[in-house]
Amino acid sequence: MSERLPGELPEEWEDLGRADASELAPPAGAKDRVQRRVAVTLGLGAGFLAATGAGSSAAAGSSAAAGLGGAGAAGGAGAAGGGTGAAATGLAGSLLVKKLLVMGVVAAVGVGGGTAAYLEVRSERARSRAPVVTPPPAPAPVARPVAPPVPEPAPAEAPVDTLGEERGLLDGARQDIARGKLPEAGALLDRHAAEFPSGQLAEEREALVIRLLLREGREREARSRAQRFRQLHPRSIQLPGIDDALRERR
Amino acid sequence: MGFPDDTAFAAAYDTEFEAVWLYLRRLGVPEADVEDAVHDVFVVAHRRYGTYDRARPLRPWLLGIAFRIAAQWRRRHRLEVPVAQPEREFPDDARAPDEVVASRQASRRLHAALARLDIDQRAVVVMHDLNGIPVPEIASALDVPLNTVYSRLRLGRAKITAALRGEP
Repeated sequence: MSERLPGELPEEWEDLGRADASELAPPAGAKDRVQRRVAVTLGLGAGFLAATGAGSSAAAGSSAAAGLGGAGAAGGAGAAGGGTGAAATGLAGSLLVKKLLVMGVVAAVGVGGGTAAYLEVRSERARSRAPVVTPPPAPAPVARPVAPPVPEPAPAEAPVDTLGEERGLLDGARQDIARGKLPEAGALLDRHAAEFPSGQLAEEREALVIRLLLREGREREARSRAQRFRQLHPRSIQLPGIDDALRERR
Repeated sequence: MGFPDDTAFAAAYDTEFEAVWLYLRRLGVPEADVEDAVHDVFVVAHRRYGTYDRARPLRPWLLGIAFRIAAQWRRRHRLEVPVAQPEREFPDDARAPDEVVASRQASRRLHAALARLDIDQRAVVVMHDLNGIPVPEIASALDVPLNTVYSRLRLGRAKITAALRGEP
């Protein structure tokens, strides 16, 4: 590319690159799936999804796509602006109290999730072949404050740099749930709820909380939270996963 | 400041999705986590659009964000014992079995070589030698001096050449 570049690469390099690109190519459906998730996180509606056909693609074939692609999503995003403010204000007081409580719990339990080997994966495709981890018998329920389902997230206000932190907490919680480390998972989810009550991944958190409750044998709580989640986020991309978890329990 | 409009963002997603995916995979994000990582890249890109210099091409800028996401992923997972990944299946692969094997072996060879590089060198070598992005664009995307990019490229290429030749 330039004479300033020392160290030519071996001749086979280009062939290796081509083979690798075909080996690592995204599987069918991944593009649409991720696009719908991006739309949910950013609160984007039909303009984003329709432009690339994610809303109508046959490969997607999901009710979430239809819901997001429709006019309802655009209207919902607009309406959320007003609703979010009021709801968030109402929550703020109780969250402050909760945050203090949660901090104590987190400090007591410690956070070990970040170093756990990840065993569980999220996508449906991957889930079907993921190693199965049998959880130990459910421990006695812990009086653990978990923030209630948040209203629509307010992405415009969320600082950009916290996404990695949010992802770290939820990743850790997911791993802990998969390995049956339920108190640790709870601590991480509580921490996320305290630090990012209306965070960018708040819906993902709630889906994990519901799964954790199921694992803890707190099925009634799980169902009531799922119901509330459905009312607050009728078009959430998390709903199919939540429904799966509830069905598995049955 | 987000993208000027949803259609422009959708067009960028449509064009760049695969490149971002591949870049993340080549920086070591495993298949099970790459959908999360791609999601995060486009979410950050949307929010950070105000910092994007439109005189420059979009891809290097997006890959720069992808590098940061991949680096975060590695920090979170560096203490883990790697879990064996199930082999990817290609149910409707039209290629002959020996072609499939050869392609998989080539990919493994490449990744074994890339694994010798530290993440900074890897980010540069993949961008330059697999994505064909010129050094000045890489320097801008990663926000490092030009000479740093050259130096990482030189060191990275030397390690890769040694690895592919079977040298220790």
